[in-house]
Amino acid sequence: MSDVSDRASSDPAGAGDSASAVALALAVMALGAFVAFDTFTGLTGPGYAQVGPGVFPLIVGAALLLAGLGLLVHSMRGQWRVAWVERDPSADASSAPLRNSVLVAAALTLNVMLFEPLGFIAASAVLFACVSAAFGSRRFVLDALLGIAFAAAIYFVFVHGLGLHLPAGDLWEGVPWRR
Amino acid sequence: MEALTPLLHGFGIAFTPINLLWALVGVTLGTAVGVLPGIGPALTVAMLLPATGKLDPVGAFIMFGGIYYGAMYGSSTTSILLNTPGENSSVVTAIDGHQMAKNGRGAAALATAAIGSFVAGTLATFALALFAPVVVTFALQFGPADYFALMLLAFTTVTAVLGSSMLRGLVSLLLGLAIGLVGIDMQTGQARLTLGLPQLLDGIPVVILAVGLFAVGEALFVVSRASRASETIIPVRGRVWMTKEEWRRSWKPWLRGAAIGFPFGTLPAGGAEIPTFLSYAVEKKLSKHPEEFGKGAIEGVAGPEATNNSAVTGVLVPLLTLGLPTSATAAIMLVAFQQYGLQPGPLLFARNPDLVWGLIASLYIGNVMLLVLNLPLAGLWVRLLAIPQPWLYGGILVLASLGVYSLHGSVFDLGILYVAGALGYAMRCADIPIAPAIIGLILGPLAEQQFRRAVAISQGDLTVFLTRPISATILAVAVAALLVPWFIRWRQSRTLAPAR
Repeated sequence: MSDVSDRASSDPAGAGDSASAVALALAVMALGAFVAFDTFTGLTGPGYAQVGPGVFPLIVGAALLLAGLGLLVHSMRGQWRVAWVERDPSADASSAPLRNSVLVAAALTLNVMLFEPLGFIAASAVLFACVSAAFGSRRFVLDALLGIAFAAAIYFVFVHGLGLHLPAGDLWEGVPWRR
Repeated sequence: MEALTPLLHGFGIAFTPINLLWALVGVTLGTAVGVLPGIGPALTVAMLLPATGKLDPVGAFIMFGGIYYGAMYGSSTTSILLNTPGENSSVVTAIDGHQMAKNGRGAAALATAAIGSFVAGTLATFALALFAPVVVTFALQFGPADYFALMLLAFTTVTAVLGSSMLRGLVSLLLGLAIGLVGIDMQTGQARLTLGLPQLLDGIPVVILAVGLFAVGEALFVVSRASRASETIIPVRGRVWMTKEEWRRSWKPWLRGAAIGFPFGTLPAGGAEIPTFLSYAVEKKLSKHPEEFGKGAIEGVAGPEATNNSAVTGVLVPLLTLGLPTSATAAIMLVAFQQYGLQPGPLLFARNPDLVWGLIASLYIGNVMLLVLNLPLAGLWVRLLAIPQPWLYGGILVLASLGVYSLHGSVFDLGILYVAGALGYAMRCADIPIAPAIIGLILGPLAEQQFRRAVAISQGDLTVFLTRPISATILAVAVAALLVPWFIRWRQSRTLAPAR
């Protein structure tokens, strides 16, 4: 046990930490409890079918609870860890995995919010440029232009070629090039 | 050989210009995604599903099949020239293949991989054409109880075999099963686990979850790892063909690989990954020069590469005859069948012979195409890796979002996609395998349906699963599948313990 925790503290790149593993194990158990509990509320009996709609959720929920318990034991014994980010010890300060992860997550959240108001082309260009930046590209303007070209090409093929619907963007109402 | 008559019929369908074109599109796309790490065949098929909804199913499946085994070819190329396997099924190939490339025998390694894949793929397709009808006759006797037992077997083997820990495999499977429960219960029309959101009443589509877990999860994971050192590509020097000695050392591993891969593919054990390790071990054991392994033994490339192609074809046996997916890609293909309103299983052979036999015949044709695409053009494929990583992942996320949005035209689905991506990221960080979740998600609702149907037929008698001989046998195998690896690990840990 002590041997394992020593290794974790002496190695900054590390194979992850046990605290996150404990948290994840608890999350799995909570999910199991929710799935199992959900079946007690508002579902009717089986009727002629013999096995009602609550049976499988109960089994899956209970199994998740038990499996989460197993994970908890593993994480407390230090047999299982979770590494959210991994730093390269030899790399310079500019490699900041945590910041990059947050940037990708933010870009995705932004995409959900902008997809319909800005339209597919503009929203995708923002997504493309932000993700490129997170992956280490330093040419933001070039990335954005490429994103616009890429998304515009897809838009044209999908909307005019395949006849599928993609949002043009409410903000551009009245702009002549809109379909 | 009257058994081959339907296959000839299939060739008639596969040889139409439009289907040849689909096969070509499929194998080309497959090779490309096989070369690129981070994008696999399962993800590619999942992302194509929304766009192929209005296509002729025969053409679509010929393309999906091409993507699946094309990825096996493409992956070997990067394993050999870059030591970066594009897929898990080529991890073993990298060991000796990359050494061969370093020794200046890269062209020979690519050749033995491609020809071996061709030989094994062709033999396995032949075996598929012979065995599938036999399994179909057998499967016609299956009742709901037997199908439930079969799915339980798939659950246990997928859990026990995939990933480094059985417990984490189980967690992944259960996550998939839990997500599969979301939505309206098909038998009673009651909403389950919907959190009161009307958008969740129809359940969470497998495609969205798969794209989220694979594409978005992978992007989030890769960006969180700092060590993204670029490997140097070893150029293929000259046009040096395999030497006579290399041919002599290759042909037996090809045949053995074909023989190992096919049966493993048919088992619910996650597809092509495990048999390649087995093939490598077998070749090392049988070789007269075991000391060469790890330093560029051609058998170590020829065997596993033949194996993974053969296994992919084997995967189609349970998928087509029983509707039972044994790998993540097969699970997505099952979704594709459902999208077209088709139910894979014994009746598929009677109702859609054009689709089944056209697909099987196209595997032959695709293998020929892949040989042509991969042998002379290997160097060209590797250039795909010159796409800068920022643009590659930017493009993947834009395409993933596009595919999921165009499924129902709903921004809510985009939200689900990214939440699934966060889940996929967490699972990767925690070393929880992804494939069991996908298989649980697709098979869970089917298993529940069969279970309830079986118990309804038996009027509440749960022993029906043990009294029917077919289901009892399958359940016994399932228990064995759980206990055997556990027993082996227990013995290994006992023998290894003093050494630590």
